[in-house]
Amino acid sequence: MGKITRIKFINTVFHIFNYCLMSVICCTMLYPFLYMFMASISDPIQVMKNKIVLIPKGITFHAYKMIFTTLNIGQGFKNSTIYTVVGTAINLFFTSITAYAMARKELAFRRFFTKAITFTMFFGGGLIPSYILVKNLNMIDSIWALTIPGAISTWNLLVLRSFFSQIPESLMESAKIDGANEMHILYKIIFPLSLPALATIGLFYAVGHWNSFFSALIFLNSSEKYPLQLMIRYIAIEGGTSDVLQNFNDIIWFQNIRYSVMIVSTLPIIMIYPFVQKFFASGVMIGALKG
Amino acid sequence: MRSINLVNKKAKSWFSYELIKAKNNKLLLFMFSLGLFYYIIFHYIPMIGISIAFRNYKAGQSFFGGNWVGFKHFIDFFNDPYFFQLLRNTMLINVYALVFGFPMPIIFALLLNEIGKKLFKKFVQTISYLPHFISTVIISGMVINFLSSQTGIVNKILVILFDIDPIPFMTRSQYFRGIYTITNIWKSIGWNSIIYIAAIAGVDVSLYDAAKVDGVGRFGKMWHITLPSIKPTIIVLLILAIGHMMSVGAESIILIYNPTIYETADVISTYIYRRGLGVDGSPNYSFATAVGLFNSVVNFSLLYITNWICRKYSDSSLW
Amino acid sequence: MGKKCLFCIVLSVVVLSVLIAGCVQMDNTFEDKADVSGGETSVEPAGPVKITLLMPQHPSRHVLNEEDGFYKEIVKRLNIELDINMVVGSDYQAKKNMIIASGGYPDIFCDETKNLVSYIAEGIIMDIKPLAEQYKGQDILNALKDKKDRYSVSDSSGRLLGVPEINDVIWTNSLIIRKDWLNSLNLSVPQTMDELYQYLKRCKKSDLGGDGSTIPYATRDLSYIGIIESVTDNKNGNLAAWDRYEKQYVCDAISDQYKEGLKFLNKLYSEKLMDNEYATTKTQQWEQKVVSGIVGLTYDNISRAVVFNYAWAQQDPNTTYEAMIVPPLKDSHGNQWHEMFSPVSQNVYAISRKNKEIEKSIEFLNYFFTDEGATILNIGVEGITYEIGESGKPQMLVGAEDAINSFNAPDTTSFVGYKTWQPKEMQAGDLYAPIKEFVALYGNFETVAPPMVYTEEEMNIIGSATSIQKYVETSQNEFIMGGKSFEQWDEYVNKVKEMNIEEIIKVYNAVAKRFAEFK
Repeated sequence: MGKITRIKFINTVFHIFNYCLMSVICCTMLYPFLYMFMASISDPIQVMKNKIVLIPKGITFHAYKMIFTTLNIGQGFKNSTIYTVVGTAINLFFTSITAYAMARKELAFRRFFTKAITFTMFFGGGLIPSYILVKNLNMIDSIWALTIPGAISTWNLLVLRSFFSQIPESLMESAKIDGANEMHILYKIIFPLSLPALATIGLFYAVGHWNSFFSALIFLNSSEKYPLQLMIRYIAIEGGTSDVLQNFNDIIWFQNIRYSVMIVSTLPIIMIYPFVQKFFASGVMIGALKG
Repeated sequence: MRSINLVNKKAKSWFSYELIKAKNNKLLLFMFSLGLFYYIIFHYIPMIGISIAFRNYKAGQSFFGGNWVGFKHFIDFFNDPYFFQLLRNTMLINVYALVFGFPMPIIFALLLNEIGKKLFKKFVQTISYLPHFISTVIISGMVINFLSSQTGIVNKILVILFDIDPIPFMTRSQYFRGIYTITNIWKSIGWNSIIYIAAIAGVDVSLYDAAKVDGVGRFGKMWHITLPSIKPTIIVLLILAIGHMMSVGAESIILIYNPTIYETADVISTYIYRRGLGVDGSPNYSFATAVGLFNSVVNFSLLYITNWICRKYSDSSLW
Repeated sequence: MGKKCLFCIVLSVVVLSVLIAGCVQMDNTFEDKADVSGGETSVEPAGPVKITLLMPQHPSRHVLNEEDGFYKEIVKRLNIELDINMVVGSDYQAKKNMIIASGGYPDIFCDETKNLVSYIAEGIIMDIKPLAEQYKGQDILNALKDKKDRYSVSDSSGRLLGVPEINDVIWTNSLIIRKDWLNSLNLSVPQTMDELYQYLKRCKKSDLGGDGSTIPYATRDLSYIGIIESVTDNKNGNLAAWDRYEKQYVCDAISDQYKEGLKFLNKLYSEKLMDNEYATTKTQQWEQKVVSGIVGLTYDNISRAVVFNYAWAQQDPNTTYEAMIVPPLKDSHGNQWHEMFSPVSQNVYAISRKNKEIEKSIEFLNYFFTDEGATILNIGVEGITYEIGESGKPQMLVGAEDAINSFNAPDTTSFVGYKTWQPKEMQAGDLYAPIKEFVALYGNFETVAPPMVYTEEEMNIIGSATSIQKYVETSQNEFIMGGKSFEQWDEYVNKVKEMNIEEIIKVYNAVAKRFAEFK
């Protein structure tokens, strides 16, 4: 009798511990955003003296007003959205066609090509040659510099390829007997079957585009084409507030502006997030498990 | 995967076999050529630029000029007084990521698996993916602002809880590795655990039942059933993590570091960035390319060796 | 057999030609297309001439664009369309290096003279002197009549590297203190290092900033070293520093004076009298701290005193906050002085060899040295930003703040032309009078260090100084923050000597000698 009670006791303790741990983890994920929001609407002197923990003091939305009336946040959002949508479309197109072709055993020189492509995951020309190439193709300071050089990510390509290769051959062979060629097979059979995987890969790419700043830094010259992340970097990290401060004594809003900018740029993600996260569980593991 | 048994045929016949395939599947080859051209143009052609690692390239010169210096830049790099520091930092940050960061998603997945209430489980899972979607820029902004000793919330909490003086996290070298590792864990624990959660879900339920009958407890089940079942997944991901060891992302470090913590924060990729683009001093493109090449070679070799070890001593590997 | 051979050959030829085509494409950046067209155009362009300009952006100014008053005036008066690429200061070197390395030279770009020396040697930029003589560049040449001015922006063979900015407004740096805090502590203006220390200590003790958030001494970037200026005779532990008394370059990073200075800083740091984020505080953060009133002492350009006072007056007309410039402390020879900034900027605007609109470019650069151009640069346009007041002096138009901002954009890290006192006087009038007095009293004009103009071999030796620089900087922080104790000072000195600092000092002295003998 004692043994069973002891086991029950350990189980209960474990459960309590587990639930607490998970709750703590959730808190650490959420608290930073909560804190930044509270700080951004607090009195700037209190923020600077580090008096805020969770409850805002001296609520004021002045920092947000400053950002929206002076900074080109709208422009940054627009740019990032365009780059993400166009970029992901290009990504999906190229990656899926190439992955499909690589998944078919009938592809000539298949193993050679696979090795050659995997090789590029490790070796590359470096920043300068890539820059020169993009410049010679006249893509500098345009959306193409951000979307075409990264059109296929080898990692995503291999994941998608292994997913395609699991689709039973019999499906494709019966389609061939019915007179379909490769393109038909791709559109009518493969795509409908692999929507979860495509959605997931598309999501990987989209997140990559939305969060990127380095390529924009290198390849873009005009500031009206800057994506959101680049603008945030200047304000939150580099310490530039350029247009936001019209008067010098507005400098006391500096820290608030930093936090507000970070909140404003994270909001869209947080809002879209619940709708999108349904796709993950099914999609992600499929290709990755088989590597 | 069925492998086509060509091992015994001569090379010429392999080639002709492939040619026949090409002739019979022109459309497929054409579809593939799109991607092929992409790789040739954007990955292979820039590789010509690697030649500047063996020359004394100056701005405005051609890639094919003379000025050949052989391995001089590599030797300069090995003799650089900071070479060992850079190597040490790169390796250490990776070791930390491996030792601390790699098991975390696994443990998280295992613990999450034990949660009974479906709703709570789903809730925790959903929240845990969130940091992955936040950009590096924002996360770096949070790190810098939160760890500030004057305006940072972390110090505020430490002062309240433990009544100590604020710690200047971002200007003392000894904290950097911890900060970087913890930040990465925070960012990726949820996302990386997806694979493990899916793998755990795929474990044969009857194994658990059998274990229950044998009187195996919760932890015993984890250790003897769950873990071994997902071993292939773990190994594959481990190999990939090791293969990326040398390329500790310059981007995320550049956003956080500053000159006072170069001692532990400066890694090979950030060094390349500074020397290659002349952020502090005249740029030396040849040198930066040489270092980058060294980086790639070591990366690749590590991956190859690890894969070979795994192939020899277990039954799963990358290739 | 034949068919296969043929196919192989065709395939390899195709692949090879793609590769070669790619190579050629990569390579043609360096063909000298500019030489073909020269400076003449067969057909006169009807519309405005387009010139590409690459310039750094000051982090707190906005990006110069086509909507700005400044831009519109230039287009109107000079018939030039500027294609401006403004890059934030901290990324400027990296971006510029990449653009140059890829061969896509902008028509005009800004850079430090030390980089331009190697560019002109490689033929990337052109010697401005003959161009200014040939086209309408007289005002540029007149502005650089003074031998010393011209020397500082030329290379060792006398080629003019670029067009600088010439400042009437000669600044210097100094300690700036809170006068109201001095008063409330009943202290007089500090005249020795010990008095400084006492002031800082009492600021902290009385928590004059309130809420325990007082920071007695706070600066931005690397300005913190200024507090030990007098201890080191203004050499500040630099790797190669001009010694006013010995009249030569020495390595101050290993001197005993510097050691004393570091000990002082270490004392301040360990007693929490100094901003413990001193090494990473950026300009805006520092400004925020000072304007919030929690800082007791800072070190920066003396004009900041006026700026802060002005800001405080705006916030609250009855404010008690007051910033005051501290007269320099006596150095080791008993003299009180500050190093003056050179009136000629070291960031100059160069013309690249791919510039096809040289005549217009010279006209553009020259314009800001004429009366008309200098006026636009300094105070804008009459009727839009200013009006002539009764005293005959220009006065800011009421309500013209927006317009003024749109003219201010090129007031960046440096531009070209004459910068005068006018804009400052217009904005804050008499507040600048004490500044001028201070400069006259303590500004040191005679022994400014000679400008550094190297030959190519010397550049190579200087290049190796980056490692030493890194070591010295890292050690400096370690000594201040307590990571290294002063017992390890000798070890540090030996290490620096091992890294061959003597070679570098020799180069500096050779350059100084060349300047002294320059006619």
